[in-house]
Amino acid sequence: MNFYRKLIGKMDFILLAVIAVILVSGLLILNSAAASKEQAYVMKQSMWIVIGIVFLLLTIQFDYTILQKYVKPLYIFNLLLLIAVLIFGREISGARSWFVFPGIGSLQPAELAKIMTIICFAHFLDERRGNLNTLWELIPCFIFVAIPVFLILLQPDLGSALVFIAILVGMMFVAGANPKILLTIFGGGVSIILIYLLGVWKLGWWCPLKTYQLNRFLVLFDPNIDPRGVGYNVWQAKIAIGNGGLFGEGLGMGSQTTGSFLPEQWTDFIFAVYAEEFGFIGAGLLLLLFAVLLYRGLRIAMLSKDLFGALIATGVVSMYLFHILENVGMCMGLMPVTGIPLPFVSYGGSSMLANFFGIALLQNIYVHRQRLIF
Amino acid sequence: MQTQERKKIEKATKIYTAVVFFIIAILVGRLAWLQIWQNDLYQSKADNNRNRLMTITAKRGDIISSDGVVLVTDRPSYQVVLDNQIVRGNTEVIETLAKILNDEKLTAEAIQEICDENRMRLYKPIVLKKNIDIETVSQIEARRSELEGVSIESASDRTYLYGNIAGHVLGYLGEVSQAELDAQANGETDTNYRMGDYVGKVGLEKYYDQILRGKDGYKQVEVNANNRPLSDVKIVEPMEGANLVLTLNYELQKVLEEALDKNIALLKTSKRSDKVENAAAVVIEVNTGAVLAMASRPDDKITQQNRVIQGRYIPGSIFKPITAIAALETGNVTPTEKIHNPGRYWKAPYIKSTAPIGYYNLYSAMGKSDNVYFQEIGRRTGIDAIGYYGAEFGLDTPTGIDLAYENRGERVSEGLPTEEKRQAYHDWAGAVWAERYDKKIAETEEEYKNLIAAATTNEEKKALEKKRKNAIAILEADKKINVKWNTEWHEADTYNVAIGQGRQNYTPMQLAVYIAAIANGGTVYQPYLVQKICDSQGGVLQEIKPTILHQANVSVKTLAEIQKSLLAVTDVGGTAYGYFQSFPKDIKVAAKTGTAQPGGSGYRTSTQQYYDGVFVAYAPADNPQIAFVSVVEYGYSGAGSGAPVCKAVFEEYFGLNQEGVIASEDVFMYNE
Repeated sequence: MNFYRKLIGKMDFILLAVIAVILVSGLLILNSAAASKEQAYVMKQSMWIVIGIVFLLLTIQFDYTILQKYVKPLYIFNLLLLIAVLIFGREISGARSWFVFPGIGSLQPAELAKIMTIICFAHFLDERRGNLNTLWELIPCFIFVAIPVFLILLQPDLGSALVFIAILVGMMFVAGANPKILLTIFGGGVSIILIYLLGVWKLGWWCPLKTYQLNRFLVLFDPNIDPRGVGYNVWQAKIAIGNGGLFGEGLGMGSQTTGSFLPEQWTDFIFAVYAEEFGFIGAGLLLLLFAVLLYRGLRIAMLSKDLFGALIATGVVSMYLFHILENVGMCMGLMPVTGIPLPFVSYGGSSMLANFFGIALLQNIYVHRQRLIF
Repeated sequence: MQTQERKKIEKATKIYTAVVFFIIAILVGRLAWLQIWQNDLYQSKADNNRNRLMTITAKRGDIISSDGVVLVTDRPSYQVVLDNQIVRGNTEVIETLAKILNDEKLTAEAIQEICDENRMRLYKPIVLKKNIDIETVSQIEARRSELEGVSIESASDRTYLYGNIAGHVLGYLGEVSQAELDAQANGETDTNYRMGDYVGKVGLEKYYDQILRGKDGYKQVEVNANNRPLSDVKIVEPMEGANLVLTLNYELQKVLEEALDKNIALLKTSKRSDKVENAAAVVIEVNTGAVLAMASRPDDKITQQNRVIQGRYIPGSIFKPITAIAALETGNVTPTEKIHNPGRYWKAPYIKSTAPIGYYNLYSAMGKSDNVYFQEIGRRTGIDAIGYYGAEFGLDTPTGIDLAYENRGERVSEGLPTEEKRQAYHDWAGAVWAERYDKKIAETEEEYKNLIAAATTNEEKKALEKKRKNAIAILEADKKINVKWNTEWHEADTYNVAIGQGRQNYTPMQLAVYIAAIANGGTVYQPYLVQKICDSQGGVLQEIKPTILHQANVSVKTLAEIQKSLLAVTDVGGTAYGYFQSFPKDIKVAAKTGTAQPGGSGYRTSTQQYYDGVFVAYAPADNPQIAFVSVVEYGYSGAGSGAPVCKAVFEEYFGLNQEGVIASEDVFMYNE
């Protein structure tokens, strides 16, 4: 017991405090965003938070290094889960991304796949340390991540797939992969996609995407595109954010929120609610708290006792970072519209669990950074 | 871990940290831009989002007759309105609604079609059905949960309480047209219509539209994204439209319309007037110009014109008093001078007179409507003086009555042949004839050109050339003759005008104003239909006083002679003798009958000649109060087509049709 208390005491309390503030403010906003809904959103969300905390406390005593023994079965289990959801999953708004357990809830394997892939990929990269200099050496890494990404694209869930790419880049960079090759491939890739989209938009190039899917990207260039569909969503989110002003409309007082003008306001567009009701002071603080969270995560990566831990921490940070960038950027018209949740704020059990797994891993790496004296 | 590797990781994480702060900084910057710099913009956008301005339609004013009968009012009603964003494509809702409405015009397919037609304006609510009964309202309310996007709105329904009575005067409403909106946008009209408004289209409803419609109110409502009202923010109450109190008398109007219909039915049974369909009749106060009754036939469709102000008719003998006034005023005849009628006038085109052969003075000529007498005094007087005195009695100008679309007689073939009008006509006719001949000449040239080109020998060509020259010369000569003929006024034209035929035509309203001026001593009044504009509580907002347009430059003596001569028309031997015999001695009727011969193709068939019947009258002759005018197309005779209607109207006005009076009338007739 004494040992356990010692472990708890060694955790990164700044990180914990930051997450606590985000969680509490997030629950307040969720309460206001879901005011028009009958379901007990806040209760359910709180339950997932409690499960997350319990998981954190239960796993802290086991050194994360033991995970290295299980990476193979974990990777296979991950793939099986992603295949299973394609077969047994429930199709909701055009994507087969959920297992639905009647009476209990639903599970989104892609969320958990992120954590599992981070762990497996950390081990994969760890084994190849020092041998990530040529394109030939990097290709197996890409394939390793591409397999789950391919399965997720089959659902289809483009947003989650993009998260994996962000994780891949972040982890490979810290693992010491040749930064020139990384930059060429991903910087070049992003540029080509942007140019291609411009071509589709302005010159009518051929595009395999359906119009509504394409519009989610084109809304970046032209906010007035598809004004009854995706354009409407982004427009309403921008109005909500702009309407918030410096001090915000006050909790439960945002007219965009109470009037249900904001679509998906308890999940994908919850940041807009946050910004409308808490204003720039609140939403700016939230972004700062996220910055601190990410910084503490990277600090843990730096302090980790081994490369395996450092890579897991980097992977978790990359996951958070991309979620934040994409979700907040989408609400403000800076990023294409893909439905991925804001960490610790958006409503959703699978996402909350995955986020807590990430925190559990970070704290575990931090706590076990030195060999403990028994 | 080796130190070197640790350093590498340290370096990478530091770079990564910088990337993280860079990304967060961009997000914070964008947030600040939206929330601080663009706050005002988005705040107003959010306000627009949640605030809806709903119109509260003002109650349109009533139209009330001078004897206090409400003729037109707004009745509260309900209408079914669809939110096309929700209803379109929702077959369950549409089928349920169609079942409730149970209207063969609004089947499920028809409703779907209406929704599809309006798909380009999804945000605009569709008024599916107006004026639904209360039972349907309660059925829809009861099944509200199954009828998402369907709502009941209150509206008002314009109700014409006595059907077609005075229909042409009252007019009707219709949805504002694009032309009306354009005119408003260009500042041509002083209206404040919005798309979808119901506005007056003709009659009083149009003329007094701005007064009747009032001012719509507004309700600012806070709504959610589905347009469901959350709360009222602000209400601006509508201002009810003002009521119109007419000069038109309901009882008199009813008598006029019934008598007119009865007489039309009677005329149709006669072979010489079997084509009667169209007619106009109007009754005005002699000393004010107030219109007491006005009717136009047919009236079975709202779009049919009001012939009293829109129809133009050749007056026939109704015009003869003008000729007489001109002759008397210019000293070209005295009332007692006798002129011989040999059966037809002795100057070309030798127009016949239907009056018996013999000598006529002013009174007998007027009474029997002798054409020879009036042609002769017309010849002596000349067309200029006739035109001048016609204009003195308002026949050259629109009456200015408070109704929309009065025919202003501005075309060259319309109105009174004043000097100006004749010149305009001659210019036009000269151009038309010249053009007609120029075309013929060009055709002939073309024809000969082809013939000459086709000719084989030189002789042939020469012969053709000669022929061509001849033909062109003939045409040129014809052109000269015809242009000259049609650009000159001829004596024969004067004779025609003097007896009320030829190139002249007037609206029945103009004729009424003219005949009232003869009766009242030469005052040309502007006829009017509205005497008071009142608020909804009955308080008078505006009282309309009679307007004198002109005082005719005619001596009292001349007018007295004319009045005396018109009395002869209803006297023994007059063209309207017998119709007003039963009237008491203190209510004598002065009148004039007219038979017009329009040149229209419908007026001459292989077996017979048709005429328009025109009748004017005023009474009492020695103290004139009201004047009557009727025109019946194909009515054959003036007296037959108008006098019975006039009699009914005068009886009603002077109270001669009450039982006591009728009894004494019977005695009177028996004594005779």
